[in-house]
Amino acid sequence: MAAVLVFVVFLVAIAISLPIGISMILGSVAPIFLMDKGGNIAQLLHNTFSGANNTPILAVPLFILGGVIMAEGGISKKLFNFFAYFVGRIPGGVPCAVILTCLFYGAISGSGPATTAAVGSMCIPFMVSLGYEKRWSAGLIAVAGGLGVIIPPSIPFVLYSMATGVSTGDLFLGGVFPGILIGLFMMIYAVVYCLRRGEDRALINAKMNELKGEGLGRLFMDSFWALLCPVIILGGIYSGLFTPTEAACVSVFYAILVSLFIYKSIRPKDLIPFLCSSVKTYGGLAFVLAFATAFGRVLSMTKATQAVESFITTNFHSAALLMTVLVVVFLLLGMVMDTGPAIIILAPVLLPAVKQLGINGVHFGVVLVCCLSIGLATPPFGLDLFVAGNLSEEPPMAVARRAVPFIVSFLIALALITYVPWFSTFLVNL
Amino acid sequence: MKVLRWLDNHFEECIMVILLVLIAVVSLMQVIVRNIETLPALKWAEEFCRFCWIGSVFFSLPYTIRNMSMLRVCVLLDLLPETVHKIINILVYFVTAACMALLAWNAVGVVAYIMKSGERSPAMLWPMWTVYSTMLIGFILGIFRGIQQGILHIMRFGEKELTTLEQTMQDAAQEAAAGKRAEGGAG
Repeated sequence: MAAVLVFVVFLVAIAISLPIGISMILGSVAPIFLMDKGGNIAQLLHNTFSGANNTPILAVPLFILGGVIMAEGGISKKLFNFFAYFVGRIPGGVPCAVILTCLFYGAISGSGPATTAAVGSMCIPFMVSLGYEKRWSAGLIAVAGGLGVIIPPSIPFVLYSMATGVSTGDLFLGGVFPGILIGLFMMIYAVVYCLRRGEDRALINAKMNELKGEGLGRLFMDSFWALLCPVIILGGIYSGLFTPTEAACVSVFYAILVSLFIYKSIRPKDLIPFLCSSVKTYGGLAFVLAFATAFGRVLSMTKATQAVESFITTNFHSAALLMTVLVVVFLLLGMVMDTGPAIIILAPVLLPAVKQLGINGVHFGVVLVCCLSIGLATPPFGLDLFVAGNLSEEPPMAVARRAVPFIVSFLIALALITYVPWFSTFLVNL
Repeated sequence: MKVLRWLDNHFEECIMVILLVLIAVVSLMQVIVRNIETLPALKWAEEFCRFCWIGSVFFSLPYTIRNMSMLRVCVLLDLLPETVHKIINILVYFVTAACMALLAWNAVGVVAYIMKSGERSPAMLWPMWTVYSTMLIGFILGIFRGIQQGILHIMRFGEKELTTLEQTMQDAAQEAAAGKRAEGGAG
């Protein structure tokens, strides 16, 4: 009974738009006041405190700060030129280079809307000047921008790791192939589209020749420091040189050094607005995090977690069926809820149950994060769509229509990732 | 007056920025020291950063209430008429303030208990009640910020309120402007 009460109070509070953190408090204190169950408030506060008293979570504010600083470096043009040098000449090569830029930029900045904004402000006018349709270009960037966050280093994985205890390093590895797969499917669609529609090859080749004129060495040196950022972070983690939290810290100072001395894109006094904007980004999340641990304890104390587990294990006998249902739920949830809180709430409740059906913790995390991330590029409130709409001066819903095929390519990749655990677990088991 | 207004707008932000800088700098020192074998490891660094994060977490309560940036799910709210919408928004802030008050009231006991127990942190030997009291301070500031926002919302009752869609449009415009600046900045 207490379990039902916790869920009902929590969900009603969320539905009437109370802040997620406050809904957790209300859900936690409801059994204490109404049924004299679920411990007492002092215990709740101790759990809240011990939830905050956590080292791995430090990676979140640091990755956010590093991303904010690195993103200011005008690196999207450098990344794009680098990728365009290689793929620009093949049919559909320019959109492919844009997708690659989005994925890489997203991995570095860690923010979907920021990726869409930075890559879009440079690439939408460029693509239009090469004869691509404006809405199509905006749709492409909205979807690709949202998915860069899957590619490590990725904040949603840090949150999932924190909520479930699955290793952050494993999750980062697990995200590599799925990220590539999603990018690949989007590129296949882009190439098919370009082959069917035709491209202004003369114009594109002229531009690409200009690029060739700059020489690979120069393009490489220009983008080198930006490309090196994920390499240092991931390399550092897997060589054992530093923990994910330390890697996040290194990313901050790497970004500062590169932006101050190599790209000269920022001045020291710019750092204060960057700090403020990072605080703004994780402020809302920290509020939820503060109560998530305590709420999780209440869920297990009132046996709510076990109730979910037994509900799932009695009603689902096949892992594939369960994953299908969960993917649909996650996709819908991602449309209306922020990724961070959704992960913190869902992961600890669902993981014990899905594990019963033999689903791997890394695999489940990758699927969860992929599903929630696409919410940034889907109506009604996908911020990426609105950013792309704003940049292209087109109505967001018109952009959304052109984004549909890209979302469909994402869904095909998602199906593969969901039903073939190999993509998520291969690198981890290596 | 000017000082008060600045504090109203930036007090919690300022503390959170300072804590973020401390976290970044101290953890960098730790990474460097740990990888130089001749230097003794900084045992206190990890604990210090953790305590800074605890401070950030509890200051994020008043910070997000003040900036109206608490994460919420507003889909259903948008379906309601604007007047109901506004009334719910006012109630949200008072409920928030009430929750903060409930927690603050109980946190007093928790802090007092820890103080009496004389518990100290393992590495830096800080009295733990000082760290626990950031929790109490966060809750108390949260009460004030909740009431402040509730009253501000009542005073602005006549003004038009943004729906989630309009809010998203506004956020998008800000992001887009930041993106253009980031790209333009480097040329």
